[in-house]
Amino acid sequence: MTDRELEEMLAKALDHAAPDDLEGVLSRCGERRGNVIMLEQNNQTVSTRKPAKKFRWWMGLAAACLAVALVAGGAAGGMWYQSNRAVASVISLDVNPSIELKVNQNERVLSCRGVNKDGAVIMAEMGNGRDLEGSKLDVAVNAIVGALVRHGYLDDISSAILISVEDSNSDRAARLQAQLTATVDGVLQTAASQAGVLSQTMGVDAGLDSQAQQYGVSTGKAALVNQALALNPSLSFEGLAALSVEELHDLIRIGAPAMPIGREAARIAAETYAGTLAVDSVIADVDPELDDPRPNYEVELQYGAREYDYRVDAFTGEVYSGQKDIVSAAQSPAPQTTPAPQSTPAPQATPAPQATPAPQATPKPQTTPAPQATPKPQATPAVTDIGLDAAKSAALKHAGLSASQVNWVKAERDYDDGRLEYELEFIYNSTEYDYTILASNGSVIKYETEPVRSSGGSQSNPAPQTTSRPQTQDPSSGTADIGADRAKAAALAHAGLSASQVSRMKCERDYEHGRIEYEIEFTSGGWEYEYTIDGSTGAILDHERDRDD
Amino acid sequence: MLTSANGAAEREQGPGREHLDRLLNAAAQGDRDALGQLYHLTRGAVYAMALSVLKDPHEAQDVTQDAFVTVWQKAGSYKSQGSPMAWMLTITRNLAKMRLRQSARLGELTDEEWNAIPAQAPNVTPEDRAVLQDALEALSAQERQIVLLHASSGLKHREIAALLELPLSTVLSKYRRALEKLRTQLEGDDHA
Repeated sequence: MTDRELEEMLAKALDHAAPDDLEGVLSRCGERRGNVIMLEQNNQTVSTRKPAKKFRWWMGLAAACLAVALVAGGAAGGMWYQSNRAVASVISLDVNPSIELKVNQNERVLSCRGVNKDGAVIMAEMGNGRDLEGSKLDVAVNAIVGALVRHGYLDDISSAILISVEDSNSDRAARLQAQLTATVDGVLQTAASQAGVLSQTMGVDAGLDSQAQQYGVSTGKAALVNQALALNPSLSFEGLAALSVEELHDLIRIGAPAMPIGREAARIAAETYAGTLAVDSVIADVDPELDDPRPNYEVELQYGAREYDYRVDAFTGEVYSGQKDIVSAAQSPAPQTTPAPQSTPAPQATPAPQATPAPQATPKPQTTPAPQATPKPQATPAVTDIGLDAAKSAALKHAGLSASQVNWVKAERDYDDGRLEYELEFIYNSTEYDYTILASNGSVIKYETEPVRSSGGSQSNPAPQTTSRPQTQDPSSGTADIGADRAKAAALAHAGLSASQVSRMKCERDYEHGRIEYEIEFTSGGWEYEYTIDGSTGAILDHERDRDD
Repeated sequence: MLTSANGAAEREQGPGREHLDRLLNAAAQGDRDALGQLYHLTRGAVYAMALSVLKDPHEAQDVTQDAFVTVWQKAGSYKSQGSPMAWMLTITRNLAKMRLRQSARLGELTDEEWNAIPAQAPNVTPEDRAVLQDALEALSAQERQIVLLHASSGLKHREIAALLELPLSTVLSKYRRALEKLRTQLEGDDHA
């Protein structure tokens, strides 16, 4: 027998004996934070520009992976070769727009992109990031922050920008952090913006990267979301990721007791209460005050020549301060300043347009009966327009969802086919809903749902399906799915452990007993834990703890 | 799935470095099909590495899966200038060693454990089992590692030397001695 024959026998035997379970592997890919690997905690450095108001900062989160350290440090020879094209650091800037820059060791920008839709809008001004390629990092950051200011993202005193530097070289990360904080600070001062600057450095963590990619947020923001999740594992990554940096930051500071309703839901709650939901001349400004004794969203409505302030409970959506029905009040001769109302039911739960108190006192200009939305109270020109808010409400009503459940990604008024329409997009439960609403009467002209998939950067989503009823549930089973993260969190919570205390985490999603179930395994402290979690409710169906031998 | 004929062709030069490189980079971009191809081309080698460290077919199976999940997660940090196979095997070895430390189980494999392989893998023939069993019984730990990796990964001796942090001369001599032992053992089986 020749050497080659012998080797081929061995290779064949190994090929046969090796597991052939690609499905099993793929089922775990997309899951982030390699629980199979021991994670080393890195110290996260966080600095803030304005400690005075609110930015005391939090402790470390970012994790660097031992395996990467070993690979980088070692064996396979010459692998940490760096060239000008090699990515040395990844910088993300998050406000609500999230923008990510990759730079080489000479701090030249290799690539730059908007991570979410708001970020993409900003980057569209700069050739979708191409204009910044090759420029020095600080120049690029300067340009981006300038654009953020121009777009009004950093106007409020409580707004905040988060700078995250992800780099395996902690010295370089710290240096870039300091440098960028100074750069951003400079831009903000020049623009007379009072926004805060938060910054953090992180070791390279591909687990975090893939998590960020999966949810379409920057790595920096993903780290922030994980902080909140660590405080309260019952929250959803997706819901948290939709919050602004400012909201997330404050939420973490108060211990993340529950999921905030979000700015949009707060605005709708306030406007419903104020009776302006169908009025499109109202300018609303929403300021999250999650660190107030009663966490709230402060909503300022400008209607006519007056400003009206509302406080909306950040977690229940209850409007607990502000003047009710300002439209009718404005019409009546003596606008009285009503005291804060006694508790009203959370209006955001059912933002059906008809919930809007009809402005009886208004002259009724409408010629066509508007079936859903109340007519505009102002004297309207020839084209009747129910207004953006009523259009949103119409779409939500059609989808059977409430404002607090969805994240808006697009709301535009368009003149198409000779008529005024609203093009609306929102996301609920990993599904994107696209609606076109007729502006004159709020009827749904067209709608589509499309799964928001993010197994990587590519947008090779399945073709959007036009459904008779939007899918708000797991398409494979017709059963709602809480997702692997929440299933794991439920198991960990039951075991009384945190994610950092366990290793060899495995999570499989099965469809059994007519429902989605998550089979979760992990080890900790010499024990092996096995859980079966109900995929729709997160309930523990079965659990076992054995000595891990 | 990789057929044995393709496997042999690939093994002759190793599963094309550039090809693996492309697949790994595609996986870094989130391409799951690329990961699937990578899996089929390299699972034998990854398993060989896991098995040679852990000496336990069950654990090696687990680590093989963990290794590919890690490859997926870490693909972004792979630098094309290196050897993709060596990179993946380094990850596998690290995971296997961590597993070993966690279970603090350093004992040699018993016959009984080896006999568990066919039950786990329906494709394993009696011939496969014999050759693996002989390899395990007759060879020292290092010899086994060198032979299994050389047979399955397509890595060259110097690359295996780098991967295992051994002098090339040691790898060469252990490789020769291992093949001799294995041949004797197998021919002994034939005569028996």
